[in-house]
Amino acid sequence: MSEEIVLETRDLVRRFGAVTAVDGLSLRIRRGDVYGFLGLNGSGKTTTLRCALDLLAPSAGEVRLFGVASAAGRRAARARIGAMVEAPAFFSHLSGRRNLALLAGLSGPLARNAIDEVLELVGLEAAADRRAGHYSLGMKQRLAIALALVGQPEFVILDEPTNGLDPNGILEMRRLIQRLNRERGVTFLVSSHLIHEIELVGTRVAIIDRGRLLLEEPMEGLAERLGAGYRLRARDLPGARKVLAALGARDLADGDGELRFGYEETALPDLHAELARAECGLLTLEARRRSLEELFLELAARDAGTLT
Amino acid sequence: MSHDGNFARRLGRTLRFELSKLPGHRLPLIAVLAGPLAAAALGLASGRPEGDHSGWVHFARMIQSGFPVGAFFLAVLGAVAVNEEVNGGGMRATLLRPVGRTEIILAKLGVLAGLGLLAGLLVIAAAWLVVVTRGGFADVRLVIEGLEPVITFERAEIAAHGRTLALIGLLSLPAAAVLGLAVSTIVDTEGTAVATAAFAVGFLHLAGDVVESARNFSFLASPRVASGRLEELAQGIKTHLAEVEALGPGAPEVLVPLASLVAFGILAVLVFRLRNLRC
Repeated sequence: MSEEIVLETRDLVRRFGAVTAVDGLSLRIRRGDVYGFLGLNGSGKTTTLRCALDLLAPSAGEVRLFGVASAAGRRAARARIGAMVEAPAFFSHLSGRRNLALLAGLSGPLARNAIDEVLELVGLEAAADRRAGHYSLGMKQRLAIALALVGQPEFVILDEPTNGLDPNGILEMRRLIQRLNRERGVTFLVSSHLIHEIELVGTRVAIIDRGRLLLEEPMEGLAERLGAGYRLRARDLPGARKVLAALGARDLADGDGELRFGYEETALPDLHAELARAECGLLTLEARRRSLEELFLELAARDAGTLT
Repeated sequence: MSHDGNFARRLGRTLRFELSKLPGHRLPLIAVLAGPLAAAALGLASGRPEGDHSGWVHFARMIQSGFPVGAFFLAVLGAVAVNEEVNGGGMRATLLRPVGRTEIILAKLGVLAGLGLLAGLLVIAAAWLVVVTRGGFADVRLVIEGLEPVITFERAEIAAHGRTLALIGLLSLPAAAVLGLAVSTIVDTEGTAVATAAFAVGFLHLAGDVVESARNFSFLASPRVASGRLEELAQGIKTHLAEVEALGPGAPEVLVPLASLVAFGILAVLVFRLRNLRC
Protein backbone atom coordinates (compact mmCIF):
# COMPACT_ATOMS: atom_id res chain seq x y z
CA MET A 1 0.00 0.00 0.00
CA SER A 2 1.32 3.42 -1.00
CA GLU A 3 2.25 5.96 1.64
CA GLU A 4 0.73 8.88 -0.30
CA ILE A 5 -1.60 10.74 2.01
CA VAL A 6 -4.84 11.77 0.32
CA LEU A 7 -6.38 13.48 3.32
CA GLU A 8 -4.73 14.69 6.46
CA THR A 9 -6.08 16.73 9.33
CA ARG A 10 -3.64 18.24 11.79
CA ASP A 11 -4.92 19.24 15.23
CA LEU A 12 -8.30 20.07 13.73
CA VAL A 13 -10.61 21.99 16.03
CA ARG A 14 -14.16 23.13 15.36
CA ARG A 15 -16.20 24.95 17.96
CA PHE A 16 -19.85 25.94 17.87
CA GLY A 17 -20.10 28.60 20.55
CA ALA A 18 -19.16 26.94 23.82
CA VAL A 19 -19.36 23.44 22.33
CA THR A 20 -16.22 21.88 20.90
CA ALA A 21 -17.40 19.43 18.25
CA VAL A 22 -13.92 18.49 17.01
CA ASP A 23 -11.10 18.70 19.47
CA GLY A 24 -7.55 18.53 18.10
CA LEU A 25 -8.20 15.72 15.63
CA SER A 26 -5.30 14.43 13.54
CA LEU A 27 -6.10 11.84 10.86
CA ARG A 28 -4.08 10.47 7.94
CA ILE A 29 -5.81 8.61 5.13
CA ARG A 30 -3.41 6.90 2.76
CA ARG A 31 -4.04 6.14 -0.89
CA GLY A 32 -5.70 2.74 -1.22
CA ASP A 33 -7.23 2.75 2.26
CA VAL A 34 -10.82 1.96 3.04
CA TYR A 35 -10.71 4.10 6.12
CA GLY A 36 -13.46 3.45 8.62
CA PHE A 37 -14.35 6.51 10.65
CA LEU A 38 -16.31 5.32 13.65
CA GLY A 39 -18.10 7.23 16.33
CA LEU A 40 -21.43 7.39 18.07
CA ASN A 41 -23.99 9.88 16.81
CA GLY A 42 -22.85 13.37 17.79
CA SER A 43 -19.21 12.36 18.22
CA GLY A 44 -17.98 14.86 15.60
CA LYS A 45 -17.63 12.65 12.50
CA THR A 46 -19.74 14.76 10.16
CA THR A 47 -18.26 18.02 11.44
CA THR A 48 -14.78 16.62 10.72
CA LEU A 49 -15.81 15.66 7.19
CA ARG A 50 -17.43 19.05 6.60
CA CYS A 51 -14.21 20.77 7.66
CA ALA A 52 -12.20 18.43 5.43
CA LEU A 53 -14.37 19.40 2.47
CA ASP A 54 -14.45 23.15 3.22
CA LEU A 55 -18.16 23.13 3.91
CA LEU A 56 -17.23 24.45 7.31
CA ALA A 57 -14.24 26.52 8.35
CA PRO A 58 -12.16 24.95 11.14
CA SER A 59 -11.69 26.99 14.31
CA ALA A 60 -8.07 25.84 14.38
CA GLY A 61 -5.81 23.28 12.78
CA GLU A 62 -5.10 22.35 9.20
CA VAL A 63 -6.62 20.21 6.45
CA ARG A 64 -4.53 18.87 3.58
CA LEU A 65 -6.15 17.30 0.52
CA PHE A 66 -3.68 15.40 -1.65
CA GLY A 67 -0.94 17.15 0.30
CA VAL A 68 -2.26 20.67 -0.42
CA ALA A 69 -3.14 22.95 2.47
CA SER A 70 -4.14 26.18 0.70
CA ALA A 71 -7.84 26.90 0.21
CA ALA A 72 -7.39 27.32 -3.55
CA GLY A 73 -5.44 24.08 -3.76
CA ARG A 74 -8.08 22.18 -1.80
CA ARG A 75 -10.78 23.62 -4.03
CA ALA A 76 -8.94 22.38 -7.11
CA ALA A 77 -8.36 19.01 -5.44
CA ARG A 78 -12.11 18.57 -5.00
CA ALA A 79 -12.22 17.75 -8.73
CA ARG A 80 -10.44 14.51 -7.78
CA ILE A 81 -12.80 13.48 -5.03
CA GLY A 82 -16.41 12.46 -4.66
CA ALA A 83 -18.30 13.00 -1.45
CA MET A 84 -21.59 12.44 0.26
CA VAL A 85 -21.86 14.26 3.56
CA GLU A 86 -24.80 14.19 5.93
CA ALA A 87 -28.17 13.82 4.19
CA PRO A 88 -28.34 13.26 0.42
CA ALA A 89 -27.97 16.65 -1.28
CA PHE A 90 -29.11 17.60 -4.77
CA PHE A 91 -31.70 19.67 -6.63
CA SER A 92 -35.13 18.21 -6.12
CA HIS A 93 -36.72 19.85 -9.19
CA LEU A 94 -34.27 18.12 -11.54
CA SER A 95 -34.18 14.47 -12.53
CA GLY A 96 -31.57 12.15 -11.09
CA ARG A 97 -29.76 12.07 -14.43
CA ARG A 98 -29.79 15.87 -14.78
CA ASN A 99 -28.47 16.27 -11.22
CA LEU A 100 -25.59 13.95 -12.02
CA ALA A 101 -24.78 15.66 -15.31
CA LEU A 102 -24.88 19.21 -13.92
CA LEU A 103 -23.06 18.62 -10.65
CA ALA A 104 -20.43 16.32 -12.11
CA GLY A 105 -19.98 18.81 -14.94
CA LEU A 106 -18.65 21.29 -12.38
CA SER A 107 -15.71 18.94 -11.77
CA GLY A 108 -14.79 18.60 -15.42
CA PRO A 109 -15.78 16.98 -18.70
CA LEU A 110 -17.31 13.55 -18.32
CA ALA A 111 -16.77 10.42 -20.37
CA ARG A 112 -19.68 9.70 -22.71
CA ASN A 113 -21.15 6.84 -20.67
CA ALA A 114 -20.15 8.09 -17.23
CA ILE A 115 -23.69 8.95 -16.13
CA ASP A 116 -25.26 5.70 -17.36
CA GLU A 117 -22.44 3.70 -15.80
CA VAL A 118 -22.85 5.19 -12.38
CA LEU A 119 -26.65 4.98 -12.55
CA GLU A 120 -26.33 1.28 -13.29
CA LEU A 121 -23.79 0.91 -10.51
CA VAL A 122 -26.26 2.18 -7.91
CA GLY A 123 -29.31 0.61 -9.55
CA LEU A 124 -31.11 3.81 -10.47
CA GLU A 125 -31.34 3.40 -14.29
CA ALA A 126 -35.11 2.93 -14.28
CA ALA A 127 -35.78 6.04 -12.19
CA ALA A 128 -33.04 8.20 -13.68
CA ASP A 129 -35.40 10.52 -15.54
CA ARG A 130 -37.82 11.05 -12.69
CA ARG A 131 -37.66 14.17 -10.55
CA ALA A 132 -35.23 13.54 -7.70
CA GLY A 133 -37.61 15.19 -5.26
CA HIS A 134 -40.05 12.31 -5.84
CA TYR A 135 -37.50 9.63 -4.94
CA SER A 136 -37.86 7.43 -1.86
CA LEU A 137 -35.32 7.79 0.94
CA GLY A 138 -33.33 4.80 -0.33
CA MET A 139 -33.32 6.15 -3.88
CA LYS A 140 -32.14 9.54 -2.66
CA GLN A 141 -29.31 7.81 -0.84
CA ARG A 142 -28.40 5.92 -4.01
CA LEU A 143 -28.43 9.12 -6.04
CA ALA A 144 -26.16 10.81 -3.49
CA ILE A 145 -23.77 7.86 -3.72
CA ALA A 146 -23.93 8.04 -7.52
CA LEU A 147 -23.03 11.73 -7.26
CA ALA A 148 -20.02 10.82 -5.13
CA LEU A 149 -18.88 8.17 -7.60
CA VAL A 150 -19.51 9.86 -10.94
CA GLY A 151 -16.43 10.95 -12.88
CA GLN A 152 -14.15 8.22 -11.49
CA PRO A 153 -12.85 10.07 -8.42
CA GLU A 154 -9.62 8.92 -6.80
CA PHE A 155 -10.92 9.47 -3.30
CA VAL A 156 -14.49 9.03 -2.08
CA ILE A 157 -15.88 10.26 1.22
CA LEU A 158 -19.12 8.63 2.32
CA ASP A 159 -20.83 9.80 5.49
CA GLU A 160 -23.11 7.08 6.89
CA PRO A 161 -23.66 5.62 3.41
CA THR A 162 -26.04 2.85 4.49
CA ASN A 163 -28.59 5.20 6.06
CA GLY A 164 -31.93 4.60 4.40
CA LEU A 165 -30.76 1.53 2.47
CA ASP A 166 -32.51 -1.83 2.80
CA PRO A 167 -30.43 -4.92 3.74
CA ASN A 168 -29.91 -5.73 0.08
CA GLY A 169 -28.79 -2.18 -0.61
CA ILE A 170 -26.38 -2.32 2.32
CA LEU A 171 -24.85 -5.51 0.95
CA GLU A 172 -24.54 -3.97 -2.53
CA MET A 173 -22.94 -0.87 -1.07
CA ARG A 174 -20.38 -2.94 0.77
CA ARG A 175 -19.53 -4.91 -2.39
CA LEU A 176 -19.31 -1.70 -4.40
CA ILE A 177 -16.80 -0.15 -2.01
CA GLN A 178 -14.71 -3.31 -2.00
CA ARG A 179 -14.83 -3.65 -5.78
CA LEU A 180 -13.93 -0.03 -6.53
CA ASN A 181 -11.12 -0.17 -3.99
CA ARG A 182 -9.74 -3.42 -5.36
CA GLU A 183 -10.22 -2.87 -9.10
CA ARG A 184 -9.79 0.87 -9.50
CA GLY A 185 -7.71 1.63 -6.44
CA VAL A 186 -10.25 4.17 -5.16
CA THR A 187 -9.50 5.35 -1.63
CA PHE A 188 -12.53 5.49 0.65
CA LEU A 189 -13.28 7.30 3.86
CA VAL A 190 -16.47 5.81 5.27
CA SER A 191 -17.99 7.19 8.43
CA SER A 192 -20.46 5.18 10.44
CA HIS A 193 -21.79 4.60 13.92
CA LEU A 194 -22.12 0.87 13.13
CA ILE A 195 -18.97 -1.05 13.98
CA HIS A 196 -20.03 -4.11 12.00
CA GLU A 197 -20.37 -2.07 8.83
CA ILE A 198 -16.84 -0.76 9.08
CA GLU A 199 -15.41 -4.08 10.15
CA LEU A 200 -16.59 -5.71 6.92
CA VAL A 201 -15.11 -3.20 4.49
CA GLY A 202 -12.40 -1.24 6.30
CA THR A 203 -8.66 -1.68 6.06
CA ARG A 204 -7.95 0.93 8.70
CA VAL A 205 -10.12 2.41 11.40
CA ALA A 206 -10.31 5.52 13.54
CA ILE A 207 -12.66 5.90 16.47
CA ILE A 208 -13.62 9.29 17.80
CA ASP A 209 -15.65 10.38 20.76
CA ARG A 210 -16.62 13.95 21.62
CA GLY A 211 -14.37 15.14 18.83
CA ARG A 212 -11.27 13.40 20.16
CA LEU A 213 -9.42 10.57 18.50
CA LEU A 214 -9.58 7.51 20.72
CA LEU A 215 -7.92 5.02 18.42
CA GLU A 216 -6.48 4.72 14.94
CA GLU A 217 -5.11 1.39 13.77
CA PRO A 218 -5.36 -1.32 11.08
CA MET A 219 -8.66 -3.20 11.07
CA GLU A 220 -7.05 -6.38 12.43
CA GLY A 221 -6.31 -4.57 15.69
CA LEU A 222 -9.93 -3.59 16.10
CA ALA A 223 -11.07 -7.16 15.45
CA GLU A 224 -8.82 -8.35 18.25
CA ARG A 225 -10.13 -5.72 20.64
CA LEU A 226 -13.72 -6.60 19.90
CA GLY A 227 -13.34 -10.36 20.06
CA ALA A 228 -11.22 -10.65 23.18
CA GLY A 229 -14.05 -10.80 25.67
CA TYR A 230 -16.14 -13.33 27.57
CA ARG A 231 -19.39 -13.30 29.50
CA LEU A 232 -20.09 -15.50 32.48
CA ARG A 233 -23.32 -16.30 34.30
CA ALA A 234 -23.27 -18.15 37.62
CA ARG A 235 -25.47 -18.73 40.64
CA ASP A 236 -22.83 -17.12 42.85
CA LEU A 237 -21.72 -14.08 40.87
CA PRO A 238 -19.76 -12.40 43.71
CA GLY A 239 -17.85 -15.65 44.25
CA ALA A 240 -17.12 -15.93 40.53
CA ARG A 241 -16.00 -12.29 40.52
CA LYS A 242 -13.45 -13.03 43.26
CA VAL A 243 -12.07 -15.97 41.27
CA LEU A 244 -11.79 -13.89 38.08
CA ALA A 245 -10.10 -11.04 39.95
CA ALA A 246 -7.68 -13.46 41.55
CA LEU A 247 -6.79 -14.96 38.15
CA GLY A 248 -6.12 -11.53 36.69
CA ALA A 249 -9.09 -11.21 34.29
CA ARG A 250 -8.94 -7.96 32.30
CA ASP A 251 -11.60 -5.25 32.14
CA LEU A 252 -13.80 -7.08 34.65
CA ALA A 253 -17.28 -5.54 34.66
CA ASP A 254 -20.73 -6.34 36.05
CA GLY A 255 -23.39 -6.66 33.39
CA ASP A 256 -27.05 -7.51 33.37
CA GLY A 257 -26.88 -10.57 35.72
CA GLU A 258 -23.51 -11.51 34.29
CA LEU A 259 -19.81 -10.73 34.45
CA ARG A 260 -17.87 -9.47 31.43
CA PHE A 261 -14.14 -9.77 31.20
CA GLY A 262 -11.16 -10.32 28.99
CA TYR A 263 -9.03 -13.47 29.27
CA GLU A 264 -6.40 -15.48 27.46
CA GLU A 265 -8.12 -18.18 25.43
CA THR A 266 -5.43 -20.76 26.19
CA ALA A 267 -5.94 -20.32 29.94
CA LEU A 268 -9.68 -20.97 29.83
CA PRO A 269 -9.44 -24.61 31.09
CA ASP A 270 -7.70 -23.35 34.24
CA LEU A 271 -10.43 -20.76 34.73
CA HIS A 272 -13.08 -23.48 34.44
CA ALA A 273 -11.27 -25.57 37.01
CA GLU A 274 -10.92 -22.67 39.48
CA LEU A 275 -14.59 -21.73 39.17
CA ALA A 276 -15.60 -25.35 39.81
CA ARG A 277 -13.27 -25.51 42.82
CA ALA A 278 -14.86 -22.35 44.27
CA GLU A 279 -18.35 -23.87 43.76
CA CYS A 280 -19.71 -20.80 42.03
CA GLY A 281 -22.49 -22.69 40.27
CA LEU A 282 -21.31 -21.82 36.75
CA LEU A 283 -24.27 -21.58 34.34
CA THR A 284 -22.68 -20.28 31.12
CA LEU A 285 -19.26 -19.08 29.96
CA GLU A 286 -19.20 -17.86 26.40
CA ALA A 287 -17.15 -15.68 24.10
CA ARG A 288 -18.70 -12.34 23.44
CA ARG A 289 -18.06 -9.45 21.11
CA ARG A 290 -17.97 -6.07 22.64
CA SER A 291 -20.33 -3.49 21.25
CA LEU A 292 -19.07 -0.19 19.92
CA GLU A 293 -20.56 1.52 22.97
CA GLU A 294 -18.55 -0.68 25.31
CA LEU A 295 -15.39 -0.13 23.31
CA PHE A 296 -16.05 3.60 23.42
CA LEU A 297 -16.51 3.49 27.18
CA GLU A 298 -13.31 1.55 27.60
CA LEU A 299 -11.33 3.77 25.25
CA ALA A 300 -12.86 6.93 26.66
CA ALA A 301 -12.01 5.83 30.22
CA ARG A 302 -8.47 5.10 29.10
CA ASP A 303 -8.33 8.48 27.33
CA ALA A 304 -9.57 10.24 30.49
CA GLY A 305 -6.92 8.36 32.46
CA THR A 306 -4.18 9.68 30.24
CA LEU A 307 -5.49 13.19 30.66
CA THR A 308 -5.60 13.17 34.44
CA MET B 1 -9.42 14.82 -13.70
CA SER B 2 -7.92 18.19 -12.89
CA HIS B 3 -10.38 20.89 -13.83
CA ASP B 4 -9.92 24.05 -11.88
CA GLY B 5 -8.84 26.83 -14.25
CA ASN B 6 -8.71 30.52 -13.49
CA PHE B 7 -11.42 32.51 -11.77
CA ALA B 8 -13.08 33.63 -15.01
CA ARG B 9 -13.32 30.06 -16.28
CA ARG B 10 -14.72 28.82 -13.01
CA LEU B 11 -17.21 31.68 -12.96
CA GLY B 12 -18.26 30.91 -16.52
CA ARG B 13 -18.74 27.26 -15.64
CA THR B 14 -20.76 28.13 -12.55
CA LEU B 15 -22.86 30.60 -14.54
CA ARG B 16 -23.71 27.88 -17.07
CA PHE B 17 -24.52 25.57 -14.18
CA GLU B 18 -26.89 28.13 -12.64
CA LEU B 19 -28.60 28.69 -15.99
CA SER B 20 -28.91 24.96 -16.62
CA LYS B 21 -30.73 24.51 -13.32
CA LEU B 22 -33.52 26.92 -14.31
CA PRO B 23 -35.61 24.65 -16.55
CA GLY B 24 -38.05 22.68 -14.46
CA HIS B 25 -38.18 25.33 -11.74
CA ARG B 26 -41.49 27.21 -11.87
CA LEU B 27 -40.57 30.29 -9.87
CA PRO B 28 -38.13 31.84 -12.39
CA LEU B 29 -40.72 31.43 -15.14
CA ILE B 30 -43.40 33.03 -12.99
CA ALA B 31 -41.05 35.85 -11.98
CA VAL B 32 -40.12 36.66 -15.58
CA LEU B 33 -43.64 36.43 -16.96
CA ALA B 34 -45.58 38.06 -14.10
CA GLY B 35 -44.72 41.65 -15.13
CA PRO B 36 -45.45 41.26 -18.86
CA LEU B 37 -48.65 39.35 -18.12
CA ALA B 38 -49.81 42.01 -15.65
CA ALA B 39 -49.07 44.76 -18.19
CA ALA B 40 -50.83 42.91 -20.99
CA ALA B 41 -53.78 41.93 -18.83
CA LEU B 42 -54.31 45.52 -17.68
CA GLY B 43 -54.01 46.77 -21.25
CA LEU B 44 -56.45 44.25 -22.63
CA ALA B 45 -58.93 44.50 -19.78
CA SER B 46 -59.13 48.27 -19.53
CA GLY B 47 -58.81 49.19 -23.18
CA ARG B 48 -57.44 52.51 -24.30
CA PRO B 49 -57.84 55.29 -21.74
CA GLU B 50 -60.26 58.13 -22.49
CA GLY B 51 -58.61 60.74 -24.68
CA ASP B 52 -55.76 58.51 -25.76
CA HIS B 53 -55.58 59.12 -29.47
CA SER B 54 -52.03 58.01 -30.06
CA GLY B 55 -51.65 54.73 -28.09
CA TRP B 56 -48.75 56.15 -26.06
CA VAL B 57 -50.79 56.79 -22.90
CA HIS B 58 -52.02 53.23 -23.05
CA PHE B 59 -48.43 52.04 -23.50
CA ALA B 60 -47.18 54.15 -20.58
CA ARG B 61 -49.87 52.92 -18.22
CA MET B 62 -49.17 49.28 -19.01
CA ILE B 63 -45.50 49.84 -18.22
CA GLN B 64 -46.50 51.53 -14.97
CA SER B 65 -48.42 48.40 -13.94
CA GLY B 66 -46.03 45.79 -15.33
CA PHE B 67 -42.82 46.99 -13.68
CA PRO B 68 -43.98 46.90 -10.02
CA VAL B 69 -45.55 43.45 -10.45
CA GLY B 70 -42.38 42.19 -12.12
CA ALA B 71 -40.25 43.76 -9.38
CA PHE B 72 -42.28 42.03 -6.69
CA PHE B 73 -41.97 38.55 -8.22
CA LEU B 74 -38.29 39.01 -9.06
CA ALA B 75 -37.56 40.07 -5.50
CA VAL B 76 -39.36 36.93 -4.29
CA LEU B 77 -37.29 34.83 -6.71
CA GLY B 78 -34.11 36.40 -5.40
CA ALA B 79 -35.22 35.96 -1.80
CA VAL B 80 -35.15 32.16 -2.07
CA ALA B 81 -32.12 31.86 -4.34
CA VAL B 82 -29.64 31.05 -1.58
CA ASN B 83 -31.55 29.89 1.48
CA GLU B 84 -33.67 27.40 -0.48
CA GLU B 85 -30.52 25.67 -1.69
CA VAL B 86 -28.82 25.86 1.69
CA ASN B 87 -31.86 24.30 3.39
CA GLY B 88 -32.52 21.77 0.61
CA GLY B 89 -28.93 20.56 0.28
CA GLY B 90 -28.32 21.82 -3.28
CA MET B 91 -25.74 24.32 -2.03
CA ARG B 92 -23.83 21.56 -0.26
CA ALA B 93 -23.88 19.43 -3.41
CA THR B 94 -22.46 22.38 -5.36
CA LEU B 95 -19.78 23.24 -2.79
CA LEU B 96 -18.53 19.66 -2.85
CA ARG B 97 -17.39 20.38 -6.40
CA PRO B 98 -14.33 22.49 -7.28
CA VAL B 99 -16.13 25.84 -7.15
CA GLY B 100 -15.85 28.54 -4.52
CA ARG B 101 -18.51 30.53 -2.75
CA THR B 102 -17.62 33.72 -4.62
CA GLU B 103 -18.25 32.10 -8.00
CA ILE B 104 -21.55 30.67 -6.77
CA ILE B 105 -22.94 33.96 -5.49
CA LEU B 106 -21.67 35.92 -8.52
CA ALA B 107 -23.24 33.39 -10.86
CA LYS B 108 -26.54 33.67 -9.02
CA LEU B 109 -26.30 37.43 -9.18
CA GLY B 110 -25.63 37.30 -12.91
CA VAL B 111 -28.54 34.98 -13.60
CA LEU B 112 -30.96 37.03 -11.50
CA ALA B 113 -29.86 40.30 -13.10
CA GLY B 114 -30.28 38.70 -16.52
CA LEU B 115 -33.75 37.46 -15.67
CA GLY B 116 -34.62 40.95 -14.40
CA LEU B 117 -33.51 42.55 -17.67
CA LEU B 118 -35.42 39.95 -19.64
CA ALA B 119 -38.56 40.58 -17.57
CA GLY B 120 -38.25 44.34 -18.13
CA LEU B 121 -37.84 43.93 -21.89
CA LEU B 122 -40.83 41.59 -21.94
CA VAL B 123 -42.97 44.16 -20.07
CA ILE B 124 -42.12 46.73 -22.74
CA ALA B 125 -42.70 44.20 -25.51
CA ALA B 126 -46.04 43.11 -24.07
CA ALA B 127 -47.23 46.72 -23.76
CA TRP B 128 -46.05 47.47 -27.29
CA LEU B 129 -47.79 44.38 -28.65
CA VAL B 130 -51.10 45.22 -26.97
CA VAL B 131 -51.05 48.75 -28.38
CA VAL B 132 -50.12 47.51 -31.86
CA THR B 133 -52.98 45.01 -31.85
CA ARG B 134 -55.42 47.66 -30.61
CA GLY B 135 -55.05 50.45 -33.12
CA GLY B 136 -51.31 51.03 -32.99
CA PHE B 137 -49.24 54.15 -32.31
CA ALA B 138 -50.04 57.50 -33.92
CA ASP B 139 -49.15 61.21 -33.73
CA VAL B 140 -49.93 62.89 -30.42
CA ARG B 141 -52.78 65.35 -30.90
CA LEU B 142 -53.92 67.90 -28.38
CA VAL B 143 -57.73 67.93 -28.57
CA ILE B 144 -59.51 70.95 -27.17
CA GLU B 145 -63.27 71.13 -27.46
CA GLY B 146 -64.44 73.43 -30.21
CA LEU B 147 -60.97 73.72 -31.78
CA GLU B 148 -59.19 71.71 -34.44
CA PRO B 149 -56.86 69.09 -32.95
CA VAL B 150 -53.24 70.21 -32.86
CA ILE B 151 -50.43 67.74 -33.52
CA THR B 152 -48.09 68.16 -30.58
CA PHE B 153 -45.65 65.40 -31.50
CA GLU B 154 -45.13 63.62 -34.76
CA ARG B 155 -45.18 59.85 -34.41
CA ALA B 156 -41.42 59.51 -34.94
CA GLU B 157 -40.67 62.15 -32.31
CA ILE B 158 -42.87 60.66 -29.59
CA ALA B 159 -41.57 57.21 -30.48
CA ALA B 160 -38.01 58.38 -29.83
CA HIS B 161 -39.02 59.82 -26.43
CA GLY B 162 -41.14 56.72 -25.74
CA ARG B 163 -38.23 54.34 -26.30
CA THR B 164 -35.95 56.34 -24.02
CA LEU B 165 -38.54 56.63 -21.26
CA ALA B 166 -39.59 52.98 -21.47
CA LEU B 167 -35.99 51.77 -21.24
CA ILE B 168 -35.04 54.11 -18.40
CA GLY B 169 -36.57 52.00 -15.67
CA LEU B 170 -35.23 48.77 -17.07
CA LEU B 171 -32.49 48.40 -14.45
CA SER B 172 -35.03 48.57 -11.65
CA LEU B 173 -36.06 44.94 -12.25
CA PRO B 174 -32.54 43.45 -11.97
CA ALA B 175 -32.10 45.65 -8.89
CA ALA B 176 -35.26 44.14 -7.35
CA ALA B 177 -34.04 40.59 -8.05
CA VAL B 178 -30.63 41.33 -6.54
CA LEU B 179 -32.28 43.01 -3.53
CA GLY B 180 -34.03 39.67 -3.01
CA LEU B 181 -30.70 37.85 -3.35
CA ALA B 182 -29.15 40.03 -0.65
CA VAL B 183 -32.10 39.25 1.63
CA SER B 184 -31.67 35.55 0.85
CA THR B 185 -28.07 35.60 2.08
CA ILE B 186 -29.11 37.30 5.33
CA VAL B 187 -32.39 35.56 6.20
CA ASP B 188 -32.16 31.77 6.51
CA THR B 189 -35.87 30.92 6.48
CA GLU B 190 -37.41 31.06 3.02
CA GLY B 191 -40.82 32.32 4.19
CA THR B 192 -39.31 35.13 6.23
CA ALA B 193 -36.98 36.07 3.38
CA VAL B 194 -39.88 36.26 0.93
CA ALA B 195 -41.89 38.41 3.35
CA THR B 196 -38.90 40.69 3.96
CA ALA B 197 -38.18 41.14 0.25
CA ALA B 198 -41.87 41.72 -0.52
CA PHE B 199 -42.08 44.30 2.25
CA ALA B 200 -38.95 46.07 0.98
CA VAL B 201 -40.31 46.22 -2.57
CA GLY B 202 -43.71 47.41 -1.37
CA PHE B 203 -42.12 50.09 0.81
CA LEU B 204 -39.83 51.36 -1.95
CA HIS B 205 -42.71 51.40 -4.40
CA LEU B 206 -45.11 53.26 -2.12
CA ALA B 207 -42.40 55.66 -0.96
CA GLY B 208 -42.42 57.16 -4.45
CA ASP B 209 -46.13 57.94 -4.15
CA VAL B 210 -45.82 59.57 -0.76
CA VAL B 211 -42.58 61.50 -1.15
CA GLU B 212 -41.81 63.27 -4.41
CA SER B 213 -38.06 63.07 -3.79
CA ALA B 214 -38.31 59.27 -3.43
CA ARG B 215 -36.82 58.88 -6.86
CA ASN B 216 -33.53 59.88 -5.30
CA PHE B 217 -33.40 56.73 -3.24
CA SER B 218 -36.09 54.37 -4.56
CA PHE B 219 -35.03 52.42 -7.61
CA LEU B 220 -38.65 51.39 -8.06
CA ALA B 221 -39.74 55.01 -8.50
CA SER B 222 -37.63 55.33 -11.67
CA PRO B 223 -39.84 53.40 -14.09
CA ARG B 224 -42.92 55.10 -12.69
CA VAL B 225 -41.44 58.58 -13.02
CA ALA B 226 -40.24 57.82 -16.56
CA SER B 227 -43.52 56.31 -17.74
CA GLY B 228 -45.37 59.18 -16.01
CA ARG B 229 -43.38 61.64 -18.14
CA LEU B 230 -44.25 59.61 -21.22
CA GLU B 231 -47.93 59.74 -20.31
CA GLU B 232 -47.74 63.52 -19.94
CA LEU B 233 -46.05 63.89 -23.32
CA ALA B 234 -48.63 61.56 -24.86
CA GLN B 235 -51.37 63.82 -23.54
CA GLY B 236 -49.78 66.71 -25.35
CA ILE B 237 -48.23 68.27 -22.26
CA LYS B 238 -44.85 69.67 -23.19
CA THR B 239 -43.94 71.08 -19.80
CA HIS B 240 -41.30 68.45 -19.06
CA LEU B 241 -39.98 68.10 -22.59
CA ALA B 242 -36.67 69.77 -21.78
CA GLU B 243 -36.17 67.36 -18.86
CA VAL B 244 -37.00 64.39 -21.04
CA GLU B 245 -34.63 65.53 -23.75
CA ALA B 246 -31.90 66.01 -21.16
CA LEU B 247 -32.25 62.46 -19.85
CA GLY B 248 -29.06 60.53 -20.20
CA PRO B 249 -26.93 57.97 -18.41
CA GLY B 250 -26.35 60.45 -15.56
CA ALA B 251 -30.03 60.98 -14.78
CA PRO B 252 -31.24 59.86 -11.34
CA GLU B 253 -33.79 57.57 -13.05
CA VAL B 254 -30.86 55.63 -14.50
CA LEU B 255 -28.29 56.06 -11.76
CA VAL B 256 -30.49 55.11 -8.81
CA PRO B 257 -31.44 51.64 -10.13
CA LEU B 258 -27.85 51.07 -11.28
CA ALA B 259 -26.41 52.14 -7.94
CA SER B 260 -29.00 49.99 -6.12
CA LEU B 261 -28.15 46.98 -8.28
CA VAL B 262 -24.44 47.38 -7.55
CA ALA B 263 -25.00 48.04 -3.83
CA PHE B 264 -27.31 45.04 -3.34
CA GLY B 265 -24.91 42.90 -5.36
CA ILE B 266 -21.94 43.87 -3.21
CA LEU B 267 -24.02 43.28 -0.07
CA ALA B 268 -25.06 39.81 -1.27
CA VAL B 269 -21.48 38.79 -2.12
CA LEU B 270 -20.05 40.13 1.12
CA VAL B 271 -22.70 38.59 3.36
CA PHE B 272 -22.50 35.24 1.58
CA ARG B 273 -18.72 35.17 1.89
CA LEU B 274 -18.51 36.47 5.44
CA ARG B 275 -21.35 34.41 6.89
CA ASN B 276 -19.81 31.25 5.46
CA LEU B 277 -23.28 29.68 5.69
CA ARG B 278 -23.41 26.21 7.15
CA CYS B 279 -24.22 23.94 4.20
